Amino acid sequence: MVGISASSNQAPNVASQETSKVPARRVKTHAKATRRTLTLLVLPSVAALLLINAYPLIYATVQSLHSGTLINAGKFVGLSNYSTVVRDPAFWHAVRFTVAFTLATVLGSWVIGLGLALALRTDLPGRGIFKVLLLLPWVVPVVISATSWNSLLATPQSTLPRLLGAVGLGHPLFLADPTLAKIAVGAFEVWLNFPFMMLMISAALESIDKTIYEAATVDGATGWQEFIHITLPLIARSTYISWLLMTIFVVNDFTTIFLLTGGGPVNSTTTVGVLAYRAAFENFQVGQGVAIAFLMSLSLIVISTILYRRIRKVPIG
Amino acid sequence: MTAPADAQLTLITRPAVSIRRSITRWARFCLMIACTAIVLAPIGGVVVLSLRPGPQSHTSSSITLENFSYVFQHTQALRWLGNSLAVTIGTVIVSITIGAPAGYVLSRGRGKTVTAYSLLLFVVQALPVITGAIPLFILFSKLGLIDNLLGLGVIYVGVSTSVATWMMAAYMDSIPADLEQAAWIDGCSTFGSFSRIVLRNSLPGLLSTAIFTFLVSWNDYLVALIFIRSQDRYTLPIGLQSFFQQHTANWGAVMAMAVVMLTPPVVLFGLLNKYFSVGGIGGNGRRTERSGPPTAKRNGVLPHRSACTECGRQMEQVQLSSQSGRQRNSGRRLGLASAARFCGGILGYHPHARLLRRRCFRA
Repeated sequence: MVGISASSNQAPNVASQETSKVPARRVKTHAKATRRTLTLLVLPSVAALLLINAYPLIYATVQSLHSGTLINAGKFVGLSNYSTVVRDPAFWHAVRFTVAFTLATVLGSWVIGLGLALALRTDLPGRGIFKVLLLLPWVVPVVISATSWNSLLATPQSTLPRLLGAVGLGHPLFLADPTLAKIAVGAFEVWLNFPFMMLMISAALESIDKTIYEAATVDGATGWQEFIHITLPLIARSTYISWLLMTIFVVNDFTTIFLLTGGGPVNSTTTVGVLAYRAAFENFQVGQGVAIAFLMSLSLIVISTILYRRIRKVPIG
Repeated sequence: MTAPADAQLTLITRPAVSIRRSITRWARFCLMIACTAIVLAPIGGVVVLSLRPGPQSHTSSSITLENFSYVFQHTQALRWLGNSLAVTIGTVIVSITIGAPAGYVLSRGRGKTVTAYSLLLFVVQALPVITGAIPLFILFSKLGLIDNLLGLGVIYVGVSTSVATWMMAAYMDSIPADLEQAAWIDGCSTFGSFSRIVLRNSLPGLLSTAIFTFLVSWNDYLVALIFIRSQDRYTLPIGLQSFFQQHTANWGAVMAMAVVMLTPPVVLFGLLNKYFSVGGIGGNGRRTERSGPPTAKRNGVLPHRSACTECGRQMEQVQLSSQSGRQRNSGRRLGLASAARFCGGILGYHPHARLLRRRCFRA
């Protein structure tokens, strides 16, 4: 045992007591060698992170202060890109939609994911198959799902408008009407993400001690009471974590909306991500595009920090 | 649970209860089938439409493979498939080669540097791809990597490395340090114990990381949309999308191409789904048989309780040193461990998160 604490759950001072039995010099050499090996092991990853992730970030910061296009760097303009963006009503429209969209889809996916996870926990015949099948929306490439949803929704001849027409609700054009397009995009996002919630909650449910339920049943608790007072509190931590992760997914998600509606009709489903893409790659205002993306990342980091602090206070269920 | 009167009560009411139970059980089963059918309708629609004869069809039967032959003969689908496969397989290999050792460091290492590194990983993960895409576009145009599959692969590696590292770290947390310690006593080096013990025992972790990186690059649309220009170098997602925009009416052919694109991930997922987990979230193979955290009953040892060093809360140790022969499978609470890691980067690890795994030396 050279310079190694027996197990991590012991306090550091225990570790140092143990190591003091071994000659100090050997401990030092070994620790040095270990540190060198670890550094070498992590080096490729750090290099990749710096090159492909950190460098563009720094470059983007510089770019957001310039009036450049994709080809030339342009002049230094200070914070004027940011002020242009913030004064643009289209930006605030996109922000409002993104917030509403994120809240609605995260909660929607959570409710559906929770329901399915609870159903899959029972003695359902063939639960393994259901579990795999219900994960499919998450595995199927978004491009395909978007194409498929398009074929179901887009034209009056599509399946869903025809079905609704047969019931007597007219032939609504889901992707042409602003309100309906918002609903369609939200439903699509929920459809894409509920499997993730289901996975998270299933994992949390599996870790609840069954004897708690037995005790509650003996005390005469109803199923609903068990759900409210046992299940929900015990999966609270996982719930908050899954909300945080999915918020990050949804806010950063550009592809879903871009493929289904392209941000239309009349910009009604334009999220901040779509706006950033449009600014940079369609209007060639790179500085503004980066500025929008930065404002978005900044608010994401703030929100995740707040949520994370909440999570820290929740005991592990 | 305790009183014999209780047992009697169960005995008396049992038949009635079990009949009602089986009725509700089958009702739930039917409800579940209905839910699954609704959920899978869009995917089923793709397959059904791809088999329907299109406008250019000559056959009278209702099911045909014509759409597939049309797609392969009249479009570049085969080429796009090859491009997609090449980029994806390259990405999977490279990001695992990078991610596995880094995950080992994250799992076993301790100290400020490691915390800073995990913070870097978190920030990178939380940033939208679009922020990085614009500067990389400018950089790559100077390096001649625009409209180049190599450039595409480089970006996919960058996008997936952070999550691959996390996933590997979460898995390696579940490999008991005892195994490594035994090797060190026998004179094994750190690298030796990594490659011979940890890596060799993390095949499920490697597979789920491979699936994840496969999905990232196979399904990506945004990066390919920005970086690939000429049709020859299209990957399937943008190929499908451009084909869809040109042939909106020809649903059969569009959906046939979609099925071509759908097959590899679904087959892979079907074969390996028992290993599948993202960021360690979700199940892994043996979980279903031995669900829940290790308990006294299961492992023959008492759950270890210890206080959180920060808030003093008493907590049950999740990872127990199993004394039975199933060390590898005991207490694999990957879900929380990795999710805590996922979020933990923001403010450094909370000791609760630390309690969830085993660390064996300081770095």
